[in-house]
Amino acid sequence: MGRLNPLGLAVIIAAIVIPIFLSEYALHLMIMVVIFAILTLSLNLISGYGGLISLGHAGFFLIGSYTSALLSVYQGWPFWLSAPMAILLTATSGLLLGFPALRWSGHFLAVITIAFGSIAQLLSINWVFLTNGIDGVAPILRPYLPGIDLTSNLNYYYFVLICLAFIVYLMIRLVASGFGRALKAIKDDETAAACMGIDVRITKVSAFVISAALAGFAGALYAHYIRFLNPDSFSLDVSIRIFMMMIIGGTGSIAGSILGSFVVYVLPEVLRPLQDYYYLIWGVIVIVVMLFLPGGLISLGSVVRARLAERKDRADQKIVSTEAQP
Amino acid sequence: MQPEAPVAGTPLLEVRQLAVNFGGIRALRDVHLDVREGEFVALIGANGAGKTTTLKAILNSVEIARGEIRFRGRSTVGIATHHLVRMGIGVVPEGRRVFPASSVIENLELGALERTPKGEAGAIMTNVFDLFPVLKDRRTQMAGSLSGGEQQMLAMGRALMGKPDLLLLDEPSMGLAPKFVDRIFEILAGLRNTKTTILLIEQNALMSLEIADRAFVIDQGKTIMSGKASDLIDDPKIAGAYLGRSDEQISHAD
Repeated sequence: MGRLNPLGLAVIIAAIVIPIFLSEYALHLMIMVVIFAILTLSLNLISGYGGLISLGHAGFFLIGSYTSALLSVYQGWPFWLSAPMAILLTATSGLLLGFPALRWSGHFLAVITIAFGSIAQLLSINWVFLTNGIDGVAPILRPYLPGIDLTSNLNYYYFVLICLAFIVYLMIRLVASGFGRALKAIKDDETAAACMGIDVRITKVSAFVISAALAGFAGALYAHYIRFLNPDSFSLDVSIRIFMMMIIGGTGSIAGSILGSFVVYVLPEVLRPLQDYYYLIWGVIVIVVMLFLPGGLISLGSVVRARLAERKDRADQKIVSTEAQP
Repeated sequence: MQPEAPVAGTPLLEVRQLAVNFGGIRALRDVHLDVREGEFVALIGANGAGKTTTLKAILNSVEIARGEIRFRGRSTVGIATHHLVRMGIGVVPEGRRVFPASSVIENLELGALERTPKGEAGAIMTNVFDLFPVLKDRRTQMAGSLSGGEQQMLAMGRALMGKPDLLLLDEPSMGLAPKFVDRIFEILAGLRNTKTTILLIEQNALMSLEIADRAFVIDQGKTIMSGKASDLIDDPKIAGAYLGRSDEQISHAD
């Protein structure tokens, strides 16, 4: 992401102004979009920039949600302590999952991360003593912020939006840092990266830890928003959804992660009135994006511009060749 | 083991009685070589003689069955590749291995990332651009869009960005058009004049011997000859086996 273009600025202004006029339901969608944007950014760090596939991000999301929720409900911890604890615990689980990621990549890593996500969900269902099983955890309090009532959904929306802005800033810094460049080099060619003196192991594991921590933070934001947790919200579907948000928005793009979260979360809601045709149309949209925009929706502008330039070149050539004829 | 003979300039890199096994097959049986500070050493041999395996052993990316490798007098056993690079071994890997989706400048910056302080990288990049003007012209281009010869220059420039004390080059002429092979060897000869310590691994024996100070010849995983490059180039055995010339041609050569 380079300089902020006018379109980006317009999106930021819209994200601040429009929710004021939204219905409660639409506002709910927007809050979820922001939380999923953080999850997608977190996945993008290891997959988009690091080339490591994870289909287990719902697992990190779950650990973050439950840690903050349980500490808050049963221990009475304030959000400002339970959320950092959630980040710490998911970072630790990221460390544990990071080591298999050193040995395996591609499909194998995808399967291992699916297993991780499933284990996390199974634990949340069956470890009733800790998690209250399928009955779930409630009521989780909204964070307390002096002077600002976060029980209002509009205020909570701005709260998560500020969190997202902070994480976007963090990601931009991270990607441009030595660590970010090392990660990209490893994605391109591990052997060559080692020949540059890059520690492949440390870099990969660090990426997993940071990614997990971000997903854990998203989990805490979710738990204290939705106020009731149950294991259903953390199935493999959620991991796949985050993965789709990354792919459809634009792999390896920060703005793409946000766009992808918006499209994948909101579009199905918009299409819902179509009832039976809903899945069909949604499926076609996904396939079309995959086929024609491998760089995701975020690359639409540059792809169109390239096509137009190509057409113009051809038109110019045609003019030249007709002029050349006697 | 022989007592070490005191030589002018202690060896920067020393390989002794090196043996490496690849799944039951003995890839290297007995390789020895040494590179002293400021020297240009060539390691030559036919395809499959074990040149690249030797390099991999030096970088610790294959397991050593027997023998000893010392960099600055210190055993390299158990030191990971990236640590050896940080200790001062620059690598131009076989097949170039530039980062295709990164620009020329980004590739060069990666070469400096772990070795060169940020403040110095700019000055070194200027030197690299002087050495390879074509890289300067293409600096914003993606490395994957460069020609093979340009990629080779980028791989060399990238390794130089780390100010290596020892530069290892693995088959830099492989797969290049003759014009570029000549250019690469010209550049190597230029590096020799800057007193960069170099170990060049090459199949192109004649051109390597023409620019090297000393050379080691390996065959079937064993160092079979070594000496001054200027002596080896006139050796009839070398000429027949590696230079593709008969004795007759040698006598007519000058």
